[in-house]
Amino acid sequence: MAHAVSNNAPMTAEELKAEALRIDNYKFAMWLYLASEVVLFSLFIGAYAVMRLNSPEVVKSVHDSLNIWLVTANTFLLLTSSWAMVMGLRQIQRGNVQGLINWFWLVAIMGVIFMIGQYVEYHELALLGITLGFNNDQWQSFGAHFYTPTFFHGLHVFVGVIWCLLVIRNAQRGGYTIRRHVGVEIFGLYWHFVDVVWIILFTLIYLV
Amino acid sequence: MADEKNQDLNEIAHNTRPPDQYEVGEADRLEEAVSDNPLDQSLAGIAQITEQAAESPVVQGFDIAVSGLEQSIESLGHAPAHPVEAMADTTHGDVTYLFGYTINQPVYTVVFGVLAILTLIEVLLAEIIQVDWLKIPLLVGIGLGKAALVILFYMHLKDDSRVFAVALILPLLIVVLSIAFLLGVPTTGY
Repeated sequence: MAHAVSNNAPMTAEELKAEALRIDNYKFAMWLYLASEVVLFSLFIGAYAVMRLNSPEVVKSVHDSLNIWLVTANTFLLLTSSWAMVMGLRQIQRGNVQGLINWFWLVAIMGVIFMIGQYVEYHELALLGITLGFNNDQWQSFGAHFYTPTFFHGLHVFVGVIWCLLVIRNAQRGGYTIRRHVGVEIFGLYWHFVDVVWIILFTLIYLV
Repeated sequence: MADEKNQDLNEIAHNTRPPDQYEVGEADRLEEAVSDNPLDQSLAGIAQITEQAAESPVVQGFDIAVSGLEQSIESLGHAPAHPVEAMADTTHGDVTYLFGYTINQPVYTVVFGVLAILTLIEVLLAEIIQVDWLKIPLLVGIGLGKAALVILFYMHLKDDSRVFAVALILPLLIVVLSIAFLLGVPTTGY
């Protein structure tokens, strides 16, 4: 006969130690993955910074054409989604699974709206002739340096939205409890990292 | 003969004190007490120099640095003993204390408010300031500050193991140094 263990039953010192080690191992693995992402995005950012310093007039003319308020709204969306993410984590840490699901739906929806906003921005830029640079010498350098980091970031948002939906499904199936929710924390690390990258990209590419 | 030697060793062991019982200024008293024996005088001189060196800023600075390093190493690999309870202050609290003020919101919401305000300030500064030498460091500084807030509070690096911070900072440092190196290398024309 299987023993049913209540999720609210107090954990012994041994269990707490084992759980702490398990969580730390998962988190460390995620941080190591994020370290590889740091290298990738740092190279993109470094390449853009060199282009920005070498061709300030090109960047300035693009800034004049850009709809900064659309990008600012998108930035607020990602910041809000990060806040919703930690509020969802807070709910599961209190044992409220439905609260986690509600907040994470907000995260996923804002991620989707962000991608739509990015599509609109790309469309506006394309109408101005700012593309990846085919047959357009003026914007060639800017296009490559602009689209590579922002598209790659958008791709990360897309993966994040899919991951968020999987976390929601897992939560609906009872996969997370007040004591066992490391999956939520791992996804949180990823989503916040995507937010951090956007904070840097927004400042460097759209404002400076 | 052997008994005599053991008795000498016992006497030495009895008279030898641990380092923490050594009194400051003892070298001076030792110098007064020493005989004309050149060996005694040399030992007293060494003790005097050692005392002076221990009080010098260089040695004291080194001592502080070593203590700091020891504390850093001890903090590495620190794991919260109780994972659920460890985050209680930052995740479960409904009140945030900031610069002596009490805010009836969780710390996550307060951080979000700060991030939103900083973003608005960034955008406004970008529209107002036109000179690069002021605009670039100011906006990049605010951007890095925002990123640090997310990493420390939302990614919990403030409370988590320092090893995670090393996993973030080390590759960043290597990339920055590599880019700086590549920028410093003269172009070969290719």
